[in-house]
Amino acid sequence: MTGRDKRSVGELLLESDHMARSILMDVDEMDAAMMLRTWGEVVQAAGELWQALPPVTPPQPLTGEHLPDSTDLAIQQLAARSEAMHRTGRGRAWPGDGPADERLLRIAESFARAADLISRHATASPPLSEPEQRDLQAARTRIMHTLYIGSHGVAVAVGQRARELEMKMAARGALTSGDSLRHSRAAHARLTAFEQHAGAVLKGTYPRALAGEHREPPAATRLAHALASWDIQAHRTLTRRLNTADLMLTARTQSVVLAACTTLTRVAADVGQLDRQQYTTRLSPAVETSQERWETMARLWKDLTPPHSRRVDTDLARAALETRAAVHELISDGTTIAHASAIAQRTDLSRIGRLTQQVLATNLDLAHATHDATTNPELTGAARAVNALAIATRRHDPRDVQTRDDSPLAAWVTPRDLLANRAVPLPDHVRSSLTAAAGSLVDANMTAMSAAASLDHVSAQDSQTRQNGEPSARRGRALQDRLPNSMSTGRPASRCER
Amino acid sequence: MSADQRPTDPDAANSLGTVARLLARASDLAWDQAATNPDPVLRLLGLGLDLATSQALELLPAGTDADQPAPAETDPLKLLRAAEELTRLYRIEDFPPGTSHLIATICDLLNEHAP
Repeated sequence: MTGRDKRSVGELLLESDHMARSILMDVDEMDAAMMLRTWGEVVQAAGELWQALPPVTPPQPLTGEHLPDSTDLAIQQLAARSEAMHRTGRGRAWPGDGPADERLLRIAESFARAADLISRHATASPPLSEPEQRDLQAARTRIMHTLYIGSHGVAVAVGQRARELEMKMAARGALTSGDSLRHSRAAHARLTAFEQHAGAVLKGTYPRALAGEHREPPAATRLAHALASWDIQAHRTLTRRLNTADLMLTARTQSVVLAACTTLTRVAADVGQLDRQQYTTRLSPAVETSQERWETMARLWKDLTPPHSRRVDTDLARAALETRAAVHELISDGTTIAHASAIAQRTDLSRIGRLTQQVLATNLDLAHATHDATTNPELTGAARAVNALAIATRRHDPRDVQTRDDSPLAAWVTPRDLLANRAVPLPDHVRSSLTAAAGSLVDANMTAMSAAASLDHVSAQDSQTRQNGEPSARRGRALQDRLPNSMSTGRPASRCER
Repeated sequence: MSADQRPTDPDAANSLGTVARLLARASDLAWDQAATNPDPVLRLLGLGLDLATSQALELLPAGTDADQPAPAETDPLKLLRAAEELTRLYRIEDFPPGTSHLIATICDLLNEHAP
């Protein structure tokens, strides 16, 4: 850029929002790999800009510290997910190295410039006047909206590429190197979860917040905060280090979270806050399957953890502890599950639909992070479990020439490693079986996320029906009419045009 | 970080190793039971035991074996109670700094699941 950039923070944000919309208009002609390569920079810059903005919560009486509100936590979750996705994408043939997408790059640059302006001119956080507070809310909404629209644009481009590869595969029976259908599909699913989460944050505030009409919703419950912190920490830990003990704790914590989800949605359906038929026929079975798959993964990770490496990451343990405490407080009474009426008194059941959507979006992204871990060549496992898995997986393959009469012809693990049960590298077929288990986990979690997509709408429709005094059909609108998916045509939805 | 520089009693440290093994075994058993029982409370117990195990291992040297020798008992709550009783054999100052948090965690789990 030549000359001095004289744009204000507001102008930079507005331009970013418009740029994201223009991407949406031209998405058919855009290069998915270039977009995916650049998207991480946009999210990172958005996170840094958000950090530079003044806090919206009041200072704590003793420490003066500002606690994050639910939207602060949401942006941290989105940043952690994006970082996890881009770390695992590095070194892969697709999207690989190459040029960046110019328009996404300009958004990232505008965010970075705005953060720089705020940091340079910030004063020592005096209380903000009412107009300043409205301006701050508008800035936050613009950033979140840009991420929402932007993630949709990238998801559409990546989804189109996946479809092109599917057609190529169908026509030729194989793909050339660098054309990874699996990576395209995984990236598409993760971007869709990102978009759904950002959409859930904006729902009910956009575009009113831009006119200064927005009021911060009541502080999120302990559970919502705990789950958001868990999501952020799990992503941070899983991208920072590769350890089967951490993966085991992640899988077991997800199992507890999904068990809580099942309990809370059942109670919400019982009192009419969620569609009972949707709950019974779609949501409940999908969440139960997802929970079973997490527990299957947890058993595998447990077996693969050497007995002297069972210690987990301290920060991950702390986040799991708070999540467990929040779940326990809400759904337990002594040694049993609390009665529905007690649970209804402890929480606002009208918010369970949205919470469940966020939980299941997180769930899917952590499933992808788990899948990525299984493909990491640095992953090791306890010698005895690796040996047992190696024999079991070979035994199930009758074409295998390396086993005879159910016995292996060669040892997969040395006797010394077996004796000490120390960590050893994974043979290829053991890794493949782990990757397949993680693939099933991803599939189950995609189904669960899709089953949860209609929850908010059904609640809204039901409450409208109750207000009108008419009997409730509780069917909900068609999938394509709902907010996060209303953009699935690849064109901006009506609210994006504002 | 704690400023307490007192040496840890070797017997107390040994017994802490046993506490870690009892908790680890209890956690494995709770999750084994959860495989055939959909009760969320069982999962809360299993996760609580996982976190207590990790807390105990934090107090021990890195690389401590949490699995061997495995206790013969198969009831997770009895193992949890045994872990709690073991912590009473020594004075709190004989254990490494931070053990009181572990003891509080174990007592909380007992209160929640075996009052």
